[in-house]
Amino acid sequence: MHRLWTALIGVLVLTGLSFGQSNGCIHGTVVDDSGTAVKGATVFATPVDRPMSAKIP
Amino acid sequence: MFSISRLDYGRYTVSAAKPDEGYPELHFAFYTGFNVKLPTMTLSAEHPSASLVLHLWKKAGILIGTVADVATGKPLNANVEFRWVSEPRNYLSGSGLANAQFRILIPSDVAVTMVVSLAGYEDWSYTTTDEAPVRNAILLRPGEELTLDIRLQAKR
Repeated sequence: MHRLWTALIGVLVLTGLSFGQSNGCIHGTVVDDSGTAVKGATVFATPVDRPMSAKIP
Repeated sequence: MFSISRLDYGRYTVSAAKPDEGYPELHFAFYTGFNVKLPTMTLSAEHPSASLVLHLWKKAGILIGTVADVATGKPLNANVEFRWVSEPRNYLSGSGLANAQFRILIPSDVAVTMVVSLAGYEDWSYTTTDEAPVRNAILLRPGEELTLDIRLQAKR
């Protein structure tokens, strides 16, 4: 029983670590067809492996 | 330059848009087709930061217009559905897209059908003459604008 709890706590800690890390960063430039840098564009980073949801007020 | 920080580690697709200048949002396959893969970046403890050059998609066609009751002229907020002629499974649909005064981006160089509907009204479909390149479909070049003043007929 003790081993089971230890394993369960380990899983929870690892899960917490994997979802709790928010230190990532994506940066770069946006260019148009001619290769000219564009100002005022909106950039989206969409998680691939995790479901997303949105709440509409 | 752009920078998106405080992201959880994991895989991301990254895309750029500028709708006010006609560059569409690429989350929707409606603008790109099903075969286009967006750039993917993976962030991890070993590689927490990633850099890339993002290319805007080619400009969309732009639909501008109004929706109103044909008899009263009352502005209407209708539902609209666009479908690729060549791939009908690829569509964009929603309420509020074709509101009383609308501006909608549609993929350029792609023929799409357009149906506007609203409860209590007959459906409205975009129609063309026989001389059109693709019959009963909208086909716009990048950045080309088309004005549509749609008038819905109340059901009897």
